[in-house]
Amino acid sequence: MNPLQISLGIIINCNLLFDLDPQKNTNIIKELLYQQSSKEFLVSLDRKKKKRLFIYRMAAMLTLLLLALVGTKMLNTQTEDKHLIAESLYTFPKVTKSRGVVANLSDQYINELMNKEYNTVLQKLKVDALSEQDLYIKANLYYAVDSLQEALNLINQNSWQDAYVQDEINWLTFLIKYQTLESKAELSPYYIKLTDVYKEKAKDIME
Amino acid sequence: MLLKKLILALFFNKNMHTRILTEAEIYQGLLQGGRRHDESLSYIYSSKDFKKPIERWLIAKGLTKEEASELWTDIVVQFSSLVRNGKYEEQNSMVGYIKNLSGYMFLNYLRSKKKHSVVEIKEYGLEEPTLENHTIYSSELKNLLYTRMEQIGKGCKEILKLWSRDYSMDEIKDKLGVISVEATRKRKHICLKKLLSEVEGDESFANLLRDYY
Repeated sequence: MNPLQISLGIIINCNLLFDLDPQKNTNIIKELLYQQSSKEFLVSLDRKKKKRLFIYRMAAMLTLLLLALVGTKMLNTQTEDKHLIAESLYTFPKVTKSRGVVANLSDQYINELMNKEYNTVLQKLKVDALSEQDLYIKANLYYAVDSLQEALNLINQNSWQDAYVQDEINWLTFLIKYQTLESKAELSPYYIKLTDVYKEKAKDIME
Repeated sequence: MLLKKLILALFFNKNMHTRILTEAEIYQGLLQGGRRHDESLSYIYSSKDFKKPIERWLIAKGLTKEEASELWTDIVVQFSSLVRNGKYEEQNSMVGYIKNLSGYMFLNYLRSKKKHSVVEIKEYGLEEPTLENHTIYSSELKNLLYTRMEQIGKGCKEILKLWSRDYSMDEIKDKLGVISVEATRKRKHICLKKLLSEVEGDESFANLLRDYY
């Protein structure tokens, strides 16, 4: 093999595309690159879309969550407001030693009641055969310790005889219902049972 | 607008393509290249008028959702390639043409995945030699080129990819943040030369390229 043949061989080996049209090669390579590049572009588009969708979904869910939280907070604030109003209108009945024939169990705990040890007295009154006065005090005790449902149950389970107790119980019932019912219209039947003094007190609530 | 997007995203999983393109606009966009090409390509790719019927058809033919989605990407690219090479003649409807193309691509897909050992084209009612010739996978050649692409560097790869999608030098300059159009042109020239020199010495590449002729 002479030097010319050797160098020709090297050239041929180095550029194996020498017999092909360079412009055509470039076009084919461009076309193949185009296919890869376009595919990558579409795949990346898909990925971006999914990512964006995920972000939008998260944002939407967070918004809903925030709205739910604000809603709950507003609802709680409303309940708290009602509680504060009822508290400002309510006073625990004054308990004095009974002068009647029947001795009341609550008479024994006047000091505790004056010291507002309501839970202690409530425990003592969790017995059967209580007088109407005791039951009335017990209902107020339940109310004072925020056991509204228990207070209401006790009120509904008894038929109150004493006119004074009846008026007081109606007032207590009204205050409980005010905190648990949704609308003022629902409160009306309880309002009409009140004495004029209590109606005056309840005026702000009903207006 | 944002709220609408949020609601759509949360409840309907809707695609958020807002601008509707006509078939003529898609066609022109693909021919023009650059940003308009990408807009047209992504429109076909995600528009429910094109994507849904084809994917549904592919799934009905036995492909999984993922396979159908993968093949749909290839179909869109192939369609665009045909348009750019002047093989697509505007017909009654672009969807009809893409459906026909999908038939061939589906058969090739089956062949390439060896799901069917023998696939008869006539079984599928496909009789369009132009499409058949242009849908045959030249996967070996492609793979070889893509391997070579890895050797020329990330920057070069990016510039050549944009060039292949007919981005103007000005668009490439903006997209890649090159100083000037002239510098972009120079860089593209160097990158292409680099890629060509990479493939020139590869015997198998040369042989495959000859077959491609």
